[in-house]
Amino acid sequence: MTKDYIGEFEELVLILVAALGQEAYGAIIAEEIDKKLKREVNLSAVHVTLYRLEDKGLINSAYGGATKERGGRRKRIYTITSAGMAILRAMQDSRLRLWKLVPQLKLSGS
Amino acid sequence: MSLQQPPNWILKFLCWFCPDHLLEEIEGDLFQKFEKDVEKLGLKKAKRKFTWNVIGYLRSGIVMRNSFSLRLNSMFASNLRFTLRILSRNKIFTFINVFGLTISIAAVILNMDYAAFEKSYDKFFRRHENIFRLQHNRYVDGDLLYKKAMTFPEIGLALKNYFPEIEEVGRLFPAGMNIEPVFTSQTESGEEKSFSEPNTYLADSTFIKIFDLDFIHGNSNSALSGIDKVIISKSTSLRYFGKTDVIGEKLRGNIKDVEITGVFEDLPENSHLKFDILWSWFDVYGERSRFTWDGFYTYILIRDKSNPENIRQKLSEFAIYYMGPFYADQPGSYSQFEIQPLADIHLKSHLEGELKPNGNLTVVNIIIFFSWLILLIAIINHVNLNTSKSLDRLREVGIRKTIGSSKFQLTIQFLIESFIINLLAVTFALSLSWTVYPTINEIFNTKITLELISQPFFWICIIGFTIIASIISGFYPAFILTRHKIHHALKGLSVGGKKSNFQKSLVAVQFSISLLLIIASYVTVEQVRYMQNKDLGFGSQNKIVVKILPSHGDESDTIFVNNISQIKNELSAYPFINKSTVSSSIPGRQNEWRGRTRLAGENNLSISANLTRIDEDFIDAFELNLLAGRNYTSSLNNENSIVINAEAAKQLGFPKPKEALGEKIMMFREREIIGIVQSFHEAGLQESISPSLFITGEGYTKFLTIGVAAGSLSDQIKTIEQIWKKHFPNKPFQYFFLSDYFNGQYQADTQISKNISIFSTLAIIVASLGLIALASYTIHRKTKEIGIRKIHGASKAQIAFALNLNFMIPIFVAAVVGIPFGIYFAKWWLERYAYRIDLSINLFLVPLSILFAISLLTILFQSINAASKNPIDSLRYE
Repeated sequence: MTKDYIGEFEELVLILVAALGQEAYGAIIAEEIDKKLKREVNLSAVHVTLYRLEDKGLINSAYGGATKERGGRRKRIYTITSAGMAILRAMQDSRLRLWKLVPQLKLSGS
Repeated sequence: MSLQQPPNWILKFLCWFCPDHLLEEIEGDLFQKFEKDVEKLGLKKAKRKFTWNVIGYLRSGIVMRNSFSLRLNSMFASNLRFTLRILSRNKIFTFINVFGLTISIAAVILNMDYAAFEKSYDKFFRRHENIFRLQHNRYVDGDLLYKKAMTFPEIGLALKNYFPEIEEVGRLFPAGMNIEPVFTSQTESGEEKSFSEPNTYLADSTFIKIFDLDFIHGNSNSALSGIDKVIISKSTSLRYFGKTDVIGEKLRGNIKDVEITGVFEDLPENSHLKFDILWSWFDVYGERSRFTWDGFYTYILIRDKSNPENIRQKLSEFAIYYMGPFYADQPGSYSQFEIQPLADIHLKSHLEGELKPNGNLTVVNIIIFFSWLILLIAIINHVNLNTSKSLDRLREVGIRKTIGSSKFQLTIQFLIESFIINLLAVTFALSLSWTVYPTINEIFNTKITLELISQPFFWICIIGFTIIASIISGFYPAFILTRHKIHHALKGLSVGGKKSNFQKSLVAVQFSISLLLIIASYVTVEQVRYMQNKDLGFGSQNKIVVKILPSHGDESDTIFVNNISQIKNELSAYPFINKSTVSSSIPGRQNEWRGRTRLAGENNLSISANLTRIDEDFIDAFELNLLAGRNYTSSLNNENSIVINAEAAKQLGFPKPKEALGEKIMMFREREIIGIVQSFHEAGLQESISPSLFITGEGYTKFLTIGVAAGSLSDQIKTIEQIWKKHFPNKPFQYFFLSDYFNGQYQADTQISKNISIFSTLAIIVASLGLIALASYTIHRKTKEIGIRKIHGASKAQIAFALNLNFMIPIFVAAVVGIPFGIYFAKWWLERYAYRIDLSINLFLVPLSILFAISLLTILFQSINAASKNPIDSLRYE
């Protein structure tokens, strides 16, 4: 597992893909990051990250249906793979383990 | 909705660079974002944002997802890939090819830039095509006496009246003709600054209308109108005042006080004009000089669309009209005039009295020619190496043919290979010249700017060169390879003797060029050394010269004259001072006094001679050799005496100096010859010694020459300066060393000899590299032959000798071809010097031995190495 590190932004996008379920595609992910984290991101950055994640086998993609509002273009819907879920969990675990080493956090956490 | 469309062009742009399989999704998301933005920010802002978003996709994560492999799957791509493989497999060949081409192309680029600079002189003046300078050719007794850049003071006005084509005329007169101007400024705080200004000229107010100076303050209409107004260059202004806004400021002068009415940008280096101060015109000549004093530069501006030929045709007519009455009583004497286009002055003029040393078109062309020769050597390397290497590839060609390559396709393959090499070389050469040109400028004192690179024409040349050179060097190997029948090629048969003769003759060409260049550099270097070391007939070493810079009327002032003699006296008290003298000119300086003299009572024979005014210490201080008669005993009361040099005596008809003693000659009045000094070189060795006359009297206080003993120069100068400042607290103390000053005349010669030396070094390096590669290749191919010879009992020495002989033959040929060219060059080059080295056999033997030594070294190591190999290995080879 150790060698499969992913970057902070990659992790963010991956979590959102998992969270949005069948509704995860480029524009909506960018919007969510904007809305939930108050962090403005470039659409292109999101796309590049999605492709990279797909290359790594952490997500899958398939075309969804066309809608009128997107100039007739289809969405590409991304879904997380089991490898993706595994890496998210592993990261969560290792982070928790590290958190427990910080005394201040222990106190304030309880 | 249809109104709210994002800009169409940017979508097309996206289409162009975005991989097809990602396009739909990305477009869709962009649209969605756009629609949101329209609601939030309005159409205009949304559109801008859309554009930025698209540009955001120009990143490697997107663009590199294009499937390049699909697009590159053409014949060209496979050629390219193959080329890269071949080049990286033969690293040494590639290196030698690229390296040789790189340095020679860089040499060509730098020299082209130098030449472009030399040819750009004066072309920055807006109307340079309409500007001409008047040239004066003077004839006496039907013979040409001289051609001069200066003419008579009032001829310009007459020209303007005579020729309707002329729009304006303007004169320049060197204000330092008799007295070098010194100006003093005073700042508000009372601080004084004094400088001597050798580049000061009197100018007509019309002069600055002909030449459009770049005024920072003031303007060309009024600046030089009025009495004693000056315009000064920016750098001059900064020197005196530390600022440029100096209109209305006054400068005190040793000639007159002046007022500044304008400041102009310094003239660029590429102008034949060089002035720091232009001074409104005042009369410097008397009525009687109107037709005798040709000391004025006259510039003519002709009207647009008028033809200068019209003026040229009528100039002789004009000369008769203007000068005719003056020459009426001197049969055989006359003047002719020519007009020189402004842009031709720097390289093509070479008249007497040029304002600034000219360049030399021949020298410029020689340098260009030599740099092309080096390029030729490098291209030959390329051809030769390609040819040798191509034999290795005979099999490859065979296979390619078998699987259906056409001759055309094979040729393309070879052309692409040499194209890549040339392209690499050109790229390296450009960056090389960009890196080294500041250093080159330092070494050669040139003004290379690489401005050439900004011109489209340059790039056309570069591209043209790359293509043509690739065709030349790729075509021959392609030709010999592709003509073979398939079965021959597959067997890898050798191409036979013809080709190696071709290669050998190319090597001969390379080495004869190298030999020519080595001879050229040896000849030029030797000549410079000769000039610097020849006994000049006077003592040039350990002489410090101080410019006296007298003011107007100083010499009739007893205090001034006393000061000078006191300085001399005080100096002589110091043990390190040998002798000092005051004179109007010094060796190495163009004497502005050149007049005609004749024996008293002799009307037919007159000679032209330099006139220097001296004091009684001149002969001793310059260590001149008095051949007959005596020196002056004092600098006073010698109105009826004269000292001449042996050359003057000879030309006056006294080959034995003694015979001239007591004769009377005319110089302002009748004077008796009291002494004859041995002729010495007053000018550089380019010129023959001319007759010289030495008199005493007013006008001599220009240079104080001080002979010093060897020792600490800085201490000596300090002492001299202290004495100087004691007597002349307000005069600038300007000094120089006589030997440096004299050798300054050889600057151009030194420069070109350095330049040619570098060329010859480059040439020999490139040629030897080629030879190394060729030798290593040939020896490699002969591995088996060497083995067989060894088994049959050949010794190491025999084999090495045989191998060397193979390569020495083209070098012998090169010697036979190169030496005649070398002799021709040496003769042609040395012709320009009055005193020159002899064309001894050494001049050619030394370069020849250098060439032999280098080429032998190049191949000796390889051949010995090959000869000492174990024959078993050699035979197993293949």
